Amino acid sequence: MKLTPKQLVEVALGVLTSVGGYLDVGAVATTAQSGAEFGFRHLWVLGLGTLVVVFLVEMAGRFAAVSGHPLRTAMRERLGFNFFVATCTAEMVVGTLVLASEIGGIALALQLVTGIAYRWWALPAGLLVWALLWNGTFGVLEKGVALLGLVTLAFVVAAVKLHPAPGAVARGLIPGGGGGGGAAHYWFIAVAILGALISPYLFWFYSAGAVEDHWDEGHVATNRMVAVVGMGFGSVVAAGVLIVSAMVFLPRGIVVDDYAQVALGLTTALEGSRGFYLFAASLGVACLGAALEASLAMAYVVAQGLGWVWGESLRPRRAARFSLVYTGALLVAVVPMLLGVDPLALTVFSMALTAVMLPIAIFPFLVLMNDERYLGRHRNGRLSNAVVIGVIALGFVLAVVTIPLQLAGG
Amino acid sequence: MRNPPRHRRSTPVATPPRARLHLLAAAAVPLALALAACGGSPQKRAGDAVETLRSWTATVRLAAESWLQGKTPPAYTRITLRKAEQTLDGAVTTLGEDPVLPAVAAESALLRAPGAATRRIAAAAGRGDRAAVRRELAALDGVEARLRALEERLSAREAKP
Repeated sequence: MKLTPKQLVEVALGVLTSVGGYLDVGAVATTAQSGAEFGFRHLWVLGLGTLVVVFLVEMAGRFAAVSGHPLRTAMRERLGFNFFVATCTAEMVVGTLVLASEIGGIALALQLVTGIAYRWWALPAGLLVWALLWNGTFGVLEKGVALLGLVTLAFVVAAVKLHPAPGAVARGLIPGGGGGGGAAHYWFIAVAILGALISPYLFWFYSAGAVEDHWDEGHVATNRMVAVVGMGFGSVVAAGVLIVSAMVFLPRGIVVDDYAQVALGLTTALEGSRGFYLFAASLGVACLGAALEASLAMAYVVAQGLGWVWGESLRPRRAARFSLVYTGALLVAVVPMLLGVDPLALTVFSMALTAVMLPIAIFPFLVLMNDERYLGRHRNGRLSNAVVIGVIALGFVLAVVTIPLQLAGG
Repeated sequence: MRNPPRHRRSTPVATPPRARLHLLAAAAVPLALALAACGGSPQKRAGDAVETLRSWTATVRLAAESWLQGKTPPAYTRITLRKAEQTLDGAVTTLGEDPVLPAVAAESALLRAPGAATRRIAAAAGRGDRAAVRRELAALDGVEARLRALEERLSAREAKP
């Protein structure tokens, strides 16, 4: 696979934006909780989740590049209106909860720095997201915010500085249980991590973005490189959060149930006050990027499914209904934070719900990625199909077994 | 199929038989949520509350130490210590609810110590009195270990048939 200089630049930019945009409030919350309670024992979940994300992102990009269709348009065409309504409704509910969590993350970052309670920042944070969507273009939002997100690499630096034992880290990459009475909670956190990593909104956003960027068949190789390298390196950032949390909180017996505690991880790991401010910047920028993606993803899902004019690069007046969807979603999403809902609890719940939704969200990949009329010779191979089937099966197991276990345990 | 119109209504590729698996798939969510039921024995609830006390006592220590080292701004310290006070008081309230376990009743002074210390640390940090914060942290030495011992005793009782 030989890339032209232009393609190399595209790959480099794609990898940087993937790394910068990898973290969101869910990944921060779930990996921080995991590290504090279970040390490195969820690292394998990060590895598994990343592997799945690499495959699914590659498929989403390949589908858009080859067919010129975003996934959701094709899902409506191929699987019909009833399927669209069922999945769209579920995704709007979960998407709004995720968006509320991301807005909560921005508000909490501002609370950390200013001392003003996050509830007061919920509306300004929502307005900021809306103003960027209303006035920005896809390229500016995607690349600008994601490049700012490279600040999250601070977690990787901190993790290295804390000198985790290589053997212990390696053992964390081998699947295992939580042990003792914490087994249900161990698996619940594993589900939440998977939900945070394998967020369907990421695929709808990526697929629509490929169409917005006018990708064609010539981008198949670029897409593959971005998916593998970008998401692969991105997962290192999430692993950094987990390792910092494991090294700082676990020995001290701190169980993370508030973002104020999470801030102490990077603060303790780095010298001076830079750790604290880098954490606030990382949380704020990562959540801003994710809020933009989640808002757009909901607008894409509805507009593409209903055949409306859509496109973040279009002026709002040209895609009025598309713009109305993200405006409405943001209006609803600020409400939980205004009411003082606990952001961390909401985040973990949303991520677990996202994981429960996975089989429904991922099933269409199996149908669409094997459709010759869309993909021609770029159809899925056996390995890709095995991964999709594996994710669907995993999602069913997680939904049926783990969530009730956690809830039953109180 | 190549180069379909972009950013507008997409033309259907074909009209294949419509999949109706959504009903089956959508059932997963209510199934999972319908099984929700919270509870737990008094020992479990007490153990969780003591774990909260221990965890937030350690949080108070780390937050105060970070403030002493100039790593965190006063606003963050104030908010974190306030949150700690609320959480610690909440855990003590939970432990005081019926039925109060004998092991818990015997340690009421220990259970109230972190909340009281946090209030004093917050007040000292508020007036910039570093020496007082250090004294309070020193006084907290041993509290976390005793809380851990109590937590383990409660866990052991819960584990017994």
